[in-house]
Amino acid sequence: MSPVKVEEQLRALREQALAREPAPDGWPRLQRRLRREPWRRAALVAGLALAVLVAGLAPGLLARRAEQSPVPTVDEALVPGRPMVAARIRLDRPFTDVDVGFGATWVASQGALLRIDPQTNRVVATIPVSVSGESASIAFGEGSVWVTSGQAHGVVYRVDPTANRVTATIEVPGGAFGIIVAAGTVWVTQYLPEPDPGIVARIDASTNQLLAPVEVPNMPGAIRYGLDAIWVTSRFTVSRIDPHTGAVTQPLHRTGDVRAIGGGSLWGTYANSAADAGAQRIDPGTGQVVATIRIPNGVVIAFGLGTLWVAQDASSIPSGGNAPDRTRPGKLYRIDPTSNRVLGRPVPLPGIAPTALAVGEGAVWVGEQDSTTLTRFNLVP
Amino acid sequence: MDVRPGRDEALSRLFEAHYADTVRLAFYLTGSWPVAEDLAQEAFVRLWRRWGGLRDQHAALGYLRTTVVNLSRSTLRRRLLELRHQRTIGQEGRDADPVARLDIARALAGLPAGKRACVVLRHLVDLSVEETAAVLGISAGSVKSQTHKGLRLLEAALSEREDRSRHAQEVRER
Repeated sequence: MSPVKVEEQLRALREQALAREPAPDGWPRLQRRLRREPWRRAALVAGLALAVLVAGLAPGLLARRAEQSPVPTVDEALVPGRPMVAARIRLDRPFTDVDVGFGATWVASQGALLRIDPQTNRVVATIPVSVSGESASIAFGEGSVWVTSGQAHGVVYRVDPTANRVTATIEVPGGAFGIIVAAGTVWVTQYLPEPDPGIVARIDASTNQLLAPVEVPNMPGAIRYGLDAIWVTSRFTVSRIDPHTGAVTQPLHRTGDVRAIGGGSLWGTYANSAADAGAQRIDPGTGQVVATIRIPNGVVIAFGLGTLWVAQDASSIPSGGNAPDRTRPGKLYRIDPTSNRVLGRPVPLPGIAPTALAVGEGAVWVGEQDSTTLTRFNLVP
Repeated sequence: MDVRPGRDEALSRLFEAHYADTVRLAFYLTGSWPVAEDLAQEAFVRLWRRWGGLRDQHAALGYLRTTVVNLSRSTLRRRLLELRHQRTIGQEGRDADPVARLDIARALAGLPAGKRACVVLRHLVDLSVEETAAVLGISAGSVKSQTHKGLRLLEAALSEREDRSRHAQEVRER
């Protein structure tokens, strides 16, 4: 593909976009929004005052339990304590994914896999791999760390955690994005030009060779492993894959996504609007949402230390008059899986937009969008 | 309503002149037309709130563009995008947006946010280096460098996409 052809394609894209017009109700729609502005400002002021009033008495009210199901068995003991910032670890490059395994914290960053020693919070190894700073992912299994390139040029790197070096570079035509290891196989989500069916590539961990791929409905995104199944989130369904046979056994049509597994349940996120967003608990048997925990402004989630962890985006607060809007930081919430309620008081996040969240080595690790800082929270009595 | 003299009238003129272009800018950045309309609406609401602090109409246009670029980067946009896809495709049974399905649109979506914004503003919105620098709040040198790197990444992505299409066909035929 020559530079001239790229510019030709950009011109073609612009011509097609120029031939298209926005919906004709744009102006009336905007006017409806603007008519609500004074009420919105008044509601914000009243809401803030109310929040200050009740914050000390009932922090659990900040998250609302909409639906309740019988409480399933909790498979990991809840570790008590309140999260507090223990370290802000500055890295030398942007990163996308963080995970904890083999006694270390691993960061998939632009051009390298970083290993952080949780005893010292320092980067102790920088392993060069050609991965993107936006979409690479990490998984552990079969004695190795696995990291995807996060690019349409699909590569999976196998890393020996005892030597901190790449032991295999496996080409995965069609791209390599999400990754998990299950039943001796590495499972990798792909992004193909034709989205339907979506493809989950498979690598035999004993030979590092590609196996026949598995097809799922539409383009796959997040992939998770737990409760003896692989859960693949596509655009409009969640597929359940048997890790032993590769059979797609049970699509969950009523579920938005699956991004964490714990407490005997699947956990996903939802966002109908900035205000109506949060986490959902999903019954793995029926695919039904059994609890909704509203935490506005979008969230990323992870399960560990016996609870669900939810990192909330920052929100914008109008200052009034001509002053610029202020930014209120998001918070780190802890959800008790026995009650689906917020546990303790949420703590402010130092960054603006959390995009990576991992739990391990007795700590919670939060990465931020467009940032090179990783924040570590420890639990304190 | 807290209406400053002339604000609504000026906003109306700006809307008429620039709403469609604002939607297109958001579309280039997000790859989704419905999400682009949402972002453009939000940008105009924020402009309305900030009206008194702006110098002139030119500043308003710059503010709109900057707001759209910033909104397109937010994690909420990604979630709304996913949700919108679910709704759209769920209703229609397939991705019915031929423009968003262009290889170049998909390759753009795969660029890092900063490089994508530079390529879009320079080559699709036709801003100068200086105008792009002002919208993104970076130096002119950074604009040139990011745009150059973005175009090279697009070349690579489009080449790979050609290869991958062939491979996908082979996989399915097997």
